[in-house]
Amino acid sequence: MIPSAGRMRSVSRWININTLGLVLLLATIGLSLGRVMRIHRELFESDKTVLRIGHAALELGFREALDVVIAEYEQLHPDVKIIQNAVPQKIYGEWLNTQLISDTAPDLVELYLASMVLDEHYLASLFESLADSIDRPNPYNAGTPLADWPWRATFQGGMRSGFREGLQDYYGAPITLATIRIYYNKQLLREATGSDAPLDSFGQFLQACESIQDLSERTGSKVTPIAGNLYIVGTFLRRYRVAFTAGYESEVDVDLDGLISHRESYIGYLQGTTDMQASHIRAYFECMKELSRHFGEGYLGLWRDQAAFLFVQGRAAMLAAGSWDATSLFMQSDFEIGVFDFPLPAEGERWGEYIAGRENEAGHAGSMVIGLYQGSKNKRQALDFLQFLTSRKYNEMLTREAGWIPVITGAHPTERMKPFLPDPTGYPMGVDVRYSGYVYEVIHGEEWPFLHGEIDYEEFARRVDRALRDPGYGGDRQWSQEYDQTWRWCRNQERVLATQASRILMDAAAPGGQERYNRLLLQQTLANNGESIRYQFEQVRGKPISDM
Amino acid sequence: MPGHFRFSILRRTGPFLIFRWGQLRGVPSLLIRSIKNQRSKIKNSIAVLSFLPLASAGADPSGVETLLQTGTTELSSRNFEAAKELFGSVIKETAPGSEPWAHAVFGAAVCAHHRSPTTQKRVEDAARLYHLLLESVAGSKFAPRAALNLGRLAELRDYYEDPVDLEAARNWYRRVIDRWPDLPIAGEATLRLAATFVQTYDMPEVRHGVDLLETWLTTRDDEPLAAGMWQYLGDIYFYPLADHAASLSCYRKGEALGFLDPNNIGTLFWRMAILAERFLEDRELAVEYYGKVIRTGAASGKGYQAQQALERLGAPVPELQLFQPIALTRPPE
Repeated sequence: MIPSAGRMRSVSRWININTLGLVLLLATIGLSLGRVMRIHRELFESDKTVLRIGHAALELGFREALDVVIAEYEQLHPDVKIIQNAVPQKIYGEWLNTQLISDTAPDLVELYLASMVLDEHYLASLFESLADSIDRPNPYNAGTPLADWPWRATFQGGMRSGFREGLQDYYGAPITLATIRIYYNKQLLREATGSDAPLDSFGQFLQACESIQDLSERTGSKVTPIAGNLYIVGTFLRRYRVAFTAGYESEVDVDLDGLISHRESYIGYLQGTTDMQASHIRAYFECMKELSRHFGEGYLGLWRDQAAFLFVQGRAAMLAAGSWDATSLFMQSDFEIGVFDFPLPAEGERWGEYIAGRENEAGHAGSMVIGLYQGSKNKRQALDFLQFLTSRKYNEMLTREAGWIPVITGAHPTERMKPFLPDPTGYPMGVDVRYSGYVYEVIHGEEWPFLHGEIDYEEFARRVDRALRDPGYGGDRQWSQEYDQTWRWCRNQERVLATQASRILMDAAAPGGQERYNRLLLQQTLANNGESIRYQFEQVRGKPISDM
Repeated sequence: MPGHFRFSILRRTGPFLIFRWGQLRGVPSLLIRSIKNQRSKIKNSIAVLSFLPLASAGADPSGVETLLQTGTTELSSRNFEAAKELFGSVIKETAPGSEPWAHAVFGAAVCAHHRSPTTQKRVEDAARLYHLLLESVAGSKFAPRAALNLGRLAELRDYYEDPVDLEAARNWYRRVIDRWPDLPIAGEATLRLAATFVQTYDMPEVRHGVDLLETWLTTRDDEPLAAGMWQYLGDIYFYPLADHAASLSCYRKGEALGFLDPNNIGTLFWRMAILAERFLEDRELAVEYYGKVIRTGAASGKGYQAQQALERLGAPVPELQLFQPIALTRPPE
């Protein structure tokens, strides 16, 4: 039957852009409502125990790996359903703070970026202490050599990254180890230098950078030797600062703890041991200036994502990035990737005589620390899943699938991840006069014009000296602020101590409560209300700290 | 807790709440938002409302017990504001001098002492409550801690322009030592007393502080804080007294008893090794402590340098055991 002309007109009257818009709007509302209802059903109307785990690990492979381990757990516990909330790093801090304030945080949370998990006083009132569990074996290690080990002892580094010094307690468990290495495009390196072997020394490294630059100019391919970016440049500076200046330790480490504090660096500066004319300091800055020539134009305007993009596109031959990025880089590159550690000037090479050794990674104690939210309705189950994630078998499974490094003793890394294993050989610290506040800002700010060749070393040194000796805001002021912060810290610790003492008196302390109190008490007493800092100032500077 | 309100308070005080969480879920979302925005007012209201059933029940002992427990839980979570309200109501409902009353007075004092922001008024309120406890029930288990806390109030700057009164603090610490000499808190008070002299960094006073601790330690074999006291003495002999032999000797005494804080042991062993090698020229001791840095303190980052030192001293060099995924040697406790 042929529709009449009038009916056709009536239908066509409705087919217009406004109707289309309305349909789209209704469809969008419908979809949104459907999604909200689905999430609501999943979270609140499920006949299962629902656990949520929130994290910021959006690197390729991790979410899928976590899903694999979650599936294993759900198979073992059919009455449990686990949902992961993966949130981009850029908004993770704000997201987590909001969730915590509104009492809607996931049961398990990556303790990262948010002020309410970084501040110990908030942390203690928002997250569960793991003190009750850490000295008991992890049940998921049954049948392995770790079966009777305390949970804490099964972690490489003894779970230290979950330990909060100021609270003397454990508030989280890490699920991976993480290091930073240099990834390189084997094909490009071979084309430029004739070899794709890892670069062992800084001389070879610089030579390779020059060769890549030449290749780029010859072929017009616009390849940058190193994909520099603001996220990673600080790591380069630190790694080489330690290598060049760790040798000053015997002269400037006055408290003999084996570490070089900012205060000790500043005292060394005032005494002329570690000032800007000191041979190793000067050599370090010259070396960094030479290195930064190969970071590519405008590298300070790039972040890690853009730099990684340049690398996987073959527009940069090398990239310094974390072990957590390995899967993303390996999967997205259509060329073979090699990995090596930050190479140091070898003996006989330029700057070789200034090198003490590499910065070590002995302090690495695990990353992606997961905490147990105090407001969780299913704390016991959430803790059980955290133990599952950090058991030898499932931590190996998780990190193998994700392309990460396992954190549990006896869990094997993949061949690809072996170059990323933390290396404890080397030195823990170098000289760093960038105390804090004004001094840090000025010196840090002046590094860029020097590294970019806008000012020469003498001018850079003059500006650093001016900042450090500024009577109002310089090193003395920063020293007095350290004193101020230390006595404030002692006062704040009084709150932690009073709470713990009250728990003990009121019979509400966890096992080991008295030992924990004694550790806190000693820690606070050793700080002497900051007065040793005041006394040292007066001894070194010959004036009262109150003048500052 | 500034900037933060949680409904967990509602859940914890559940049995006594008129506005329970379940009921709140039915309240329009606008009202909930408004409640969240006025968190401090509502927290106080909740605490007060939670006592209405108790008040009508005429101080039922089991109710008091529950309230004390809830207050203690809130104090443990550092929700001082809510805890103080709970303790405050127990104070009103119980007989002065009773143990629950003492518990509540002490709890309320701690809350006033540590509620943020710390103000002169709150600190004075805390001092008043500590004094009330000491005057009313000196035999309570809370009394020694109340006296010690009065010393802490005098010693520390609690708010802007709060004067430090070391002499008043010393008097309180001495009072604890004299009044309760056989309780463990006497040792803590001795440590605090010695520290008030040390922190002046006036040499005769520092030596007096050292004498106080050494005398205490020679007469108290069973002092629970002995290891910490020896470590503190080791620190003082190292700086400002620069008596390196005495410093190392004190550290060793602390170590023999088992250092209280095993977490930063690597840097302490490093200092002991350097003291032995550089200042005392005692090769044997230096080798011992460099070895300990490697075996139990390598996480400090000093393991590699300790290996170099042992090589320099011609001693056997233990391997660094950190980050060896296959090794399954159980680490030291």
